[in-house]
Amino acid sequence: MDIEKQLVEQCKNGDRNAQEKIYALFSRSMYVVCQRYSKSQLEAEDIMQESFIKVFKNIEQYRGDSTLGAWVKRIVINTALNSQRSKLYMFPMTDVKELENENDGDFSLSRFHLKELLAMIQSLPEGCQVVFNLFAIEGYSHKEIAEKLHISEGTSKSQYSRAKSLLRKMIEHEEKLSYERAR
Amino acid sequence: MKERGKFENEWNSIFDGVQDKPSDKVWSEIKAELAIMEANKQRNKVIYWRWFGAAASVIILLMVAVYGYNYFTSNSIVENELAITNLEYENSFNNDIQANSNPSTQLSNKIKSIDYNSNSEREESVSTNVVDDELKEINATNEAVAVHISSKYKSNKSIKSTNVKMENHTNDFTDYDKTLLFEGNQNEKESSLLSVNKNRSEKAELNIDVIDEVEYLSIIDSVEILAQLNTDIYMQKIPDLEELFKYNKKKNRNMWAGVSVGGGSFNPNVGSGDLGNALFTSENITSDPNLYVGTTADITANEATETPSFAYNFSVDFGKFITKKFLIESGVEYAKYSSEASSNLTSNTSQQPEAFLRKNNSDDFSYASLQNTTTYELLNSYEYVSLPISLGYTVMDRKIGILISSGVSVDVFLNNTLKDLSGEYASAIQKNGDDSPYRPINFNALLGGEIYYSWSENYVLAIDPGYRISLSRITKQDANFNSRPTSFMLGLKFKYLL
Repeated sequence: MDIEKQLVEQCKNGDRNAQEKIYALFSRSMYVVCQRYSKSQLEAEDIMQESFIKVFKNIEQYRGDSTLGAWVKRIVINTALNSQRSKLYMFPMTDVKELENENDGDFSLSRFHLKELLAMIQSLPEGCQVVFNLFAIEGYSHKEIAEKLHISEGTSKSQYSRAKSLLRKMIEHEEKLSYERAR
Repeated sequence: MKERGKFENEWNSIFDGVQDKPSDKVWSEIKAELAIMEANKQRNKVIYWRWFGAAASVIILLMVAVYGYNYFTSNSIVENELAITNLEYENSFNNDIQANSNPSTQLSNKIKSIDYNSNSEREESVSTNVVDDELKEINATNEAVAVHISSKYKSNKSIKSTNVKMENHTNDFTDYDKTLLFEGNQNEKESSLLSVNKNRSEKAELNIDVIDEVEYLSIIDSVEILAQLNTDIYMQKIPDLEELFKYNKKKNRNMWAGVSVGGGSFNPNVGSGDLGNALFTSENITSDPNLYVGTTADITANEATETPSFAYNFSVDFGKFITKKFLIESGVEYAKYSSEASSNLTSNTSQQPEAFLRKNNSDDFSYASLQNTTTYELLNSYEYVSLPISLGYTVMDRKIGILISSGVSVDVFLNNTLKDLSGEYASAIQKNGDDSPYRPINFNALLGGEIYYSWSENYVLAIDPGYRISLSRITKQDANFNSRPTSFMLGLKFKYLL
């Protein structure tokens, strides 16, 4: 933590080496976040670049209330949401029929590779993708998501249901394919 | 719908702490963007200071203009016209006054009355107390009388000296080519001393010329009061005008020494050298060793343009008045001038890669030492020691004064430094010498001025804006680029009058 503080202070003075160290510290984990909110590698890298420029530009505002990693992640997610917002505006989220609860049973993702899961998330429609990331992975409530995206809580819930349903189908499809390949 | 279940927990845990390496291109682009941001920040700083300097100059000039306007107009325009009329000398000057061979001409001037007219045309006649009814002695060579109008009038009326008229005076007075000195009417510190020369015409109006300032106030105050209208207006005898001028010249106008510090902007005005337009063409580097813009199999060099940036200087100066208005100024000055540029090359001749902008004219230069990098911003700084000499002319010389000057300076080149603004590459320093593309000595034309404030008898504080242009290129004939810089500086000068 002390090293982080020291790096932050150096960054405040515009030290390029310190900036590079902070980038090296968080770039790998943040890149996965960027990929979850984007549709392609190119888009993920754009979000990544914009996010880290914001980090270094606003480093003066980091007061140490949270960990540096959490602060950086918040910036990355906000940048990703801003980048998605234009798309969300073009394809506004409407209520979709809330699906019946399905029994999660012995649901497991352990047999999937990270890249496969990322590809599934990236193939979701924009609205579903954002809500799914915020709810299932970041852990926001539907109320918080509704406030963040300026949508109704109901819209958030229905979009999430749709995302969940689509992902289930994709997982089932993948499982079926791998079963057939194994046979 | 339940909020969170196995499905959500599974996704959450599978992405917890996972990592994936982004391409190296991402950091390169972030770094380039940060370098541009820093350069813009620096540029904004320069622009801020430039605007600050310009705004300060405008404010100062406005203040001087307002001050000057008030100063001059208050001596020439009447808001409430004051006329001293009917100044009658009951006893004339010595009858032999025209011959005037006697240095101790006897003068008996009994002022009968001084009438004061206001704009309301209300006329009031005030009989004055004659200080001395008897004959007064005034040396014929010191033909001066001062009418003192107190600063107390300032609050009520602005008295304009050109409209101060002396009417109905006696023949004795018209015959005598007399000078009256009017002490001004602004305030005690800024009053001006006016001379009133009698017009010999029958109209007998008096011409008034501003002859100098009121540093003489104390002297005037010390002389004898001849006549007094009231506590605010009275007439005095002036001892010796010549003495007054001598006193002034001796006191304030001889030599000064001072120090100054200034800041401003610098434009290198870089262009192509005598080798044609080589600097800005895309030629193959290997085809001509004097070119550096272009592409080889290994490196690609961008066009090296430069943009203006900041400059600052320190100097020790001295000056000498050669006449009342003209002076010569000189001194020694250290100056640092900077411009900004971007480059995509570094020179790897030493252990750490050095910033590189353009090839010098050294024959043993090796292109193999160059390496392509992402574009970075650099500061190109020149250090000089200058010996300026200029001729100044005093436009206005009062408590606040204005001086304009022009001259030349001899600049001795010290070094040129290329500094990578991101700090990633080492600075490249080019000192004076055979391998330097810069001339060791340069000549510049100077144009400047001073707005100064004399806060005491010996100390003066001045703001001196100055423009300088190089009289020839600062690069050698065989250099592959040309630079004929200009700079504008705004300095603060402290002078001690010797």
